[in-house]
Amino acid sequence: MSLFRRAFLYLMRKRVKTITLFLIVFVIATLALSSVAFKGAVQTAQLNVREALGGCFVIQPNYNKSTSWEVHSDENGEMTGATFRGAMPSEELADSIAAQLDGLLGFNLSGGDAIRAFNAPDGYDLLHVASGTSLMDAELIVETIADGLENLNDLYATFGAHLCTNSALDYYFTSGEMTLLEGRHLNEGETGAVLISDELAKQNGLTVGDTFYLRDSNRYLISEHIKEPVYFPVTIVGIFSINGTSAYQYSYECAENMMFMTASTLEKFSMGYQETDEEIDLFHTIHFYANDPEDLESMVEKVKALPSFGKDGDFTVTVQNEAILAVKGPLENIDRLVTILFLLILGIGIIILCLILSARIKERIRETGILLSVGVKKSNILLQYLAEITVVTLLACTVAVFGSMFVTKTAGTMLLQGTITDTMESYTQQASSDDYEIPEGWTTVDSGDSQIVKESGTLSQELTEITVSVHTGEIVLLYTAGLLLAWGAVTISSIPLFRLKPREILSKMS
Amino acid sequence: MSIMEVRDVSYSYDGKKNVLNHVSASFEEGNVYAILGPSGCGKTTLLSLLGGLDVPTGGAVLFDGTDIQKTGLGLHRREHVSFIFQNYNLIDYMTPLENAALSGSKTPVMPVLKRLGLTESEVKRNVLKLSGGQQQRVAIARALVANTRVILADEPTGNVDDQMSVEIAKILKESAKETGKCVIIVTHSLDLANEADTILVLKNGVLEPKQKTEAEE
Ligand SMILES: Nc1ncnc2c1ncn2[C@@H]1O[C@H](COP(=O)(O)OP(=O)(O)OP(=O)(O)O)[C@@H](O)[C@H]1O
Ligand SMILES: [Mg+2]
Repeated sequence: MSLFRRAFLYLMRKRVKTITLFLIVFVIATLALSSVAFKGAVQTAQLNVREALGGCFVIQPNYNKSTSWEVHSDENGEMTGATFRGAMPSEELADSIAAQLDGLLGFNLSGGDAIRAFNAPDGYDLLHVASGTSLMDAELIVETIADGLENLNDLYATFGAHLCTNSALDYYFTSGEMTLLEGRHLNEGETGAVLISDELAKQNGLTVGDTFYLRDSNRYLISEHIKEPVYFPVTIVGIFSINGTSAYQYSYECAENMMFMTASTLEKFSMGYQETDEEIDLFHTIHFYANDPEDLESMVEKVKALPSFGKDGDFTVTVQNEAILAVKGPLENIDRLVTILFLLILGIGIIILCLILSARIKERIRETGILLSVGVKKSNILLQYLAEITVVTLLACTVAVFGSMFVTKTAGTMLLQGTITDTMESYTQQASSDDYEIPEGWTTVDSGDSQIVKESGTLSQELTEITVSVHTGEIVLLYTAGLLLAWGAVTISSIPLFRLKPREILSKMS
Repeated sequence: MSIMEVRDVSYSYDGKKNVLNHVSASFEEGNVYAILGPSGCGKTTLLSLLGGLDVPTGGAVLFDGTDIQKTGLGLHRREHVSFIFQNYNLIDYMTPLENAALSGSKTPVMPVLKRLGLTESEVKRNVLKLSGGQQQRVAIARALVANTRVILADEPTGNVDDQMSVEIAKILKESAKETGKCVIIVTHSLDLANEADTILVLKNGVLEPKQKTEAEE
């Protein structure tokens, strides 16, 4: 009788034994495969979080440097306000820093201004601000009234110009606060192209490819200098959506009314720029992005030591990776938990399997003796036992592939998504309550940027679209590891038995 | 010429006391031998040496004139001898039919089983659902169908009643005559021993032939 026939008979006739062994291998294999798949997903999630949250470091003027402020006082010497006169980030600064850093993904300088937008270059046919945003700018009304009420229409709508050097790397987009819906991002230095919000587009019936006109918002300036305003035609190249609602009141501060453009576009119509030969500070922030957010801290250290940056403490540099850190911790915990779980399963599983297999082999001493007495070789008997465990392992692993697909699809995916969602929700809530820090005694500094209160969960949505799935490589690994383990356990369990002389085996039989 | 021979065989488990002490004997084909002796005298030990389950500490076991250690113990077990043990003879996940055919011999098994009194339905049953005597007969059938010239039986009737014991002895004797096999039986049963052609007694490590009538427990 061949060893395969004997193995077949054993598996078929010792059904209870076969099924218990099958179930044990199945459970171990399912848990092992699920945890491996889960671990893979956690790592994907970590990568996604890094990429989606795009860790960066930020260079801003040092608003805490008191000598950078010019204080305004009234006749009585009472302080009425202050103007920031400190150094502002420039493209030269950004370039000089970028030249010194390895592993940089890119950077974006951003700045802002209030502007006017018209359907026709006539000063009358104004674009409507996005619905829900405040039309009036009280301060501007007062100034215009004082200026002589030249054109009431001009009071109605002001928009925000968001200047950027690389809109794709603008923090609004990289942070997930905004998403490009249609069209494309701005090209570097592209003149006459803008990105507008879907709300603004809807309000004015505009779409990608449409043209409108931009003008300086400072009406009073125009009258003061008695200069004809410039109506500069711009084309919409992209439309973005906003993941949340504006926290600001005035139309030009609201993200819905924000128009992304390059500095060269603004320069075409900005009166302030045209009035002076001096270099105008257009930007207030630079965001630098690293290929790997892990490098951010060391990059910042390097930047702080740069001579072009370090002089007089004019700038601050901060790492913006709170989001990554916020999600990193819980994900790393899951990762660690899964690793421990995996090792436990594997350890306990292997021990249980070895104990069972060696107990079974010991039980089979009689059978081994009978087979030896009819002249079956030890190696042939061992091969029979290996053939049996091979069949059971292969079947159990095959079923385990489906089992773990089920486990990972339900429990695994839910757990992972839950963690990211929870973490991101608490992170966004915390982030939106973090207010800008202002030096005591100074009036509010308007950075020119809009602030968006994110709807909780919107950012995490794209991150949680992670499915825990079982990959071919893991399946192959399961079969390989499963078989090696089973063979190892059987062979090791058999050693004491096969080291006995046949007569000793036979004497142990009775 | 003798088919099997033990030549000056000694055996010790602990290296001090010899269980077998310079034992010599030869066994002819077509003959049935009964080995008697008190418990613990080394009968099973001798049988395992004959069957190549172990090697003597002194002397040699010869099959057809050749030292079985030279031919190889595995080959000796596979091709020269068949065993019948007192109990635990059968593999429990094989039917009686499969058990009897375990040696791989081409000799049809069913006629032998039938002659040993097993029915068609009994040979397809789970072996554990056979009586002790029936199980032993399956083991005997396995030894008989095997293409070996020597059958070694260690208390083959220990688990069956006296009548069955004599019955089994007769079957073994008949097949020895019919097939020309050499059958060596270790037993405590005088009835069985009396069926044998030759009775040997093992005592104090020495094997001595006995007259049938003199055979004692
Ligand atoms: N594995 C062993 N290790 C040490 N001593 C052993 C071993 N097997 C048997 N013996 C001893 O060797 C002697 C002979 O044993 P053996 O089994 O050959 O006796 P036996 O004649 O078959 O006895 P019984 O009639 O009870 O079956 C006994 O004293 C026994 O205790
Ligand atoms: Mg004995």
